[in-house]
Amino acid sequence: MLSTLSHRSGRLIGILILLLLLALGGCASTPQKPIADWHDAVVAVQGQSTTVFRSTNDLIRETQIRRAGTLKTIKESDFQPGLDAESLAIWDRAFDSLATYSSALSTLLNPELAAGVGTSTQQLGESIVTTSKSDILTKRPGLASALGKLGAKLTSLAAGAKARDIMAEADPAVNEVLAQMARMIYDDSGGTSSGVYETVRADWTLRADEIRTEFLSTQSPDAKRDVATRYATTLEKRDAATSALLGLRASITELAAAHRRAAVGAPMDTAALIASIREQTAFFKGLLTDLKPAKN
Amino acid sequence: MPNQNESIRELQGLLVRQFKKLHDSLDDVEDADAAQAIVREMQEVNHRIALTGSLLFAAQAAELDDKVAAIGKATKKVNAAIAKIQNIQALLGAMSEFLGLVDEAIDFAKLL
Repeated sequence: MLSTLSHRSGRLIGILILLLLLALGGCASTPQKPIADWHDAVVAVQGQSTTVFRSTNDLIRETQIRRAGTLKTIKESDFQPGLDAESLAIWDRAFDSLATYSSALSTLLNPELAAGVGTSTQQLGESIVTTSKSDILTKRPGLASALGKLGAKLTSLAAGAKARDIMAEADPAVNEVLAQMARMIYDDSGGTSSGVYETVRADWTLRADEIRTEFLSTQSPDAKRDVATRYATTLEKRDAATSALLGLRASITELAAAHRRAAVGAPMDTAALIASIREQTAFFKGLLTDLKPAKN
Repeated sequence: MPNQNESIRELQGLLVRQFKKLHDSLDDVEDADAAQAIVREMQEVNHRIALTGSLLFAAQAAELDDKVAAIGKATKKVNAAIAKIQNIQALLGAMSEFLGLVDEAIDFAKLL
């Protein structure tokens, strides 16, 4: 009799494993950490863009005010925001959407989610054995725990496979969003240069050229050196500002590339990206004060 | 025929090229008044580069908004996968609970 019950509980446990297999589907591994890193990178690039765009709008506003000194009348269009609030909100929403997407992926791949199924599987195994009055757990004390580990592993593999399927399907959309954002910063396709980069570059070039004209009416060597110093400093600021924009564009492009790598099952390799973004963000936050043009 | 965004982009590109020509022309100017006249012209072109840049950014942002919807759909699929796993966990838990109740019922029946 006891032997029959043990046999029955063994069969029930076998059915439990089969149920798990059927419920969870195929198996392929996608690690959680790179996805969590990608999420961190999205948030970091969003922060980077906030810093760079704030600096851009400050620059444009200062130039508008300086230009007003040459005008007879002023109108609203003379003070149009460089990057309007509504567009910046859309920009942020795009990053929020990518962050929510990657956060959900990270949750799906979180080992704790799989561990929960493992614990429930172990408990159900124990219940089955108790109900069938089997002594199988006395003979094999590690069986319930092994069953739990198997449940957790199967869940983890299925979650990884599902995450990869979804990423592969979403990859064209993710790339389209990030490519659009990169174009908004700088686009030189078709032999035409456009974007925030061109606005900022022209602005700083104008500032430098205004100083350059002062040089023509400056007489003393000391005064010339003073003008030349301000001219060189302005050119440096222009290069720092345009580098900030190109750095932001590179970060966005790299986010797209990392997602594409993960979607085809290759390592995301986000560690270098995050380190680079954090370094750039810290650098440009420090530069923000310097980049602000001096008030006349 | 180019779409509206492409037209704005081409306009900004045209202004950028014009601005660069004015900038380059300063290299050969030694007269301060002539240089200032060029710089004033550059100020006006620069203002229009910023205006078209602003319009282009807004137009591209509207396009971006449309593209972002697809990311939301992917997030829903991920959340559905999470819910499926949580449902499996809940099912396993419910079965354990059910079996526990069965045991209690059997034990109770034995007392009768």
